Amino acid sequence: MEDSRIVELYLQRDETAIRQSAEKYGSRLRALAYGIVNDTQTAEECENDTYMQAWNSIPPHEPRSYLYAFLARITRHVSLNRCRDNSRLKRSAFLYQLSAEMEQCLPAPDDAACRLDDVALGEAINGFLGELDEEKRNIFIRRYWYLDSIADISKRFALSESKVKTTLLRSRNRLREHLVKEGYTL
Amino acid sequence: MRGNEFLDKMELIDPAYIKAADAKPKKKNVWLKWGAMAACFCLLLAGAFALSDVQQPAAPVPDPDGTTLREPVPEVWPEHPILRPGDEGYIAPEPTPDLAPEDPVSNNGAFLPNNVTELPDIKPHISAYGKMTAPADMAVSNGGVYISQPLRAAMEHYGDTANYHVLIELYSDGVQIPIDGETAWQEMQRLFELGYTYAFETHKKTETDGKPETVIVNYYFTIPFAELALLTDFPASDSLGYHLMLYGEYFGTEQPDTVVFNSVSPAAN
Repeated sequence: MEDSRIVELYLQRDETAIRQSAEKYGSRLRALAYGIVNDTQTAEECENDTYMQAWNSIPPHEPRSYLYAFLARITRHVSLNRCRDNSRLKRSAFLYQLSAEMEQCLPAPDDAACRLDDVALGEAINGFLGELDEEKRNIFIRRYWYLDSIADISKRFALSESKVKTTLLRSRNRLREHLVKEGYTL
Repeated sequence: MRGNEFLDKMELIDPAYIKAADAKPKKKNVWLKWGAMAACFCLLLAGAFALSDVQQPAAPVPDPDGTTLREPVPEVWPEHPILRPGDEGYIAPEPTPDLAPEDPVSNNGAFLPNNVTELPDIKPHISAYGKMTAPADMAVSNGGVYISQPLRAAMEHYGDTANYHVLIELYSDGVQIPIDGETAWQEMQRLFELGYTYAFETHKKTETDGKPETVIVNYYFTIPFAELALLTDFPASDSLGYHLMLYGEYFGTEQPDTVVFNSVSPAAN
């Protein structure tokens, strides 16, 4: 079923919208959640939470042309929060590593003098991503949006792990330079 | 804002980019490249056979780095630690054959031109050793030294009969640091003072990719001629982690447009 048709079902408060979403995107959402929480049962719970939050947010949102990205964003958010709240999942080292890498992108961590709203920050991040070539952009997003491991990214793009790590390091440096150049202090 | 919060802010990325990153990457046409290389190699072999004297026994064909493999390269590297003489399971390297002076083949089996009877006693230089495996996702902790599997396998195979061309990645608190930064520079100086010859390489590559021409500059920290002992007894700093790998393992067949090689050796000063 087309995304626009599934969104119509949400808007009409037709519960088959959930079933259609699960049929079309369930396995990908579970895989995304599993990559973050590393636990099958928790990943399924995150998937179910995703449908509930999607039901509560459509309307007002109408992601007719980007339903997967909309659902995946919810899944990512839910999964990250589950990781942080549930020490049983033992993902603290994984999140610590990612947070440490993200910190390298920040021009001045903890500087509260100037805080960006999400609109301006989103424009800055997307402006930076638009300057990257396709492969570097996809590698950056696979790491910091999909939260893939270096090994998974290496296999996906048929690159050595060292090459992936160096590409990410340079992208993080360029993002920091971009934010500094645009006058952002975070 | 801290890194944790910034990780959450990645939700602001455009959905079109999210969708694009989820698509299967385009397959690199490696077969065309390898097919062309294989065809050239076959032509060279055919030419060599046509010119050679088939009455004499063939000399061992050396590898491009000047060595001759003593056993086939395994497809999959077994997990093994670095073994030293006296360790259980240690296999001593085969002794170099003692050749007569008039024998045209010398220097560990390297094939020589007719007007050369011997070469200086120089060690083979290893910059690649078989296929690279993909180790588990890792970040080297401070004080740690991680040696890649191909480098470990080469060290066990050749021992101290060869020098190794090594590329080093540096980590601080588990996160990779740039080679053109102050910390990396200081580390290179520290190793120099301990007797290591290091190189700081600048690679320049021009990329277009449908956009205005861009020159990409990358920096690398290498040890061009590392003896075995310099690797097995690597003097790690407490504040840095090290990932050591073979030079060819990292670069494969990638060719930048320009390489500037600045080698700093204690012997030159």
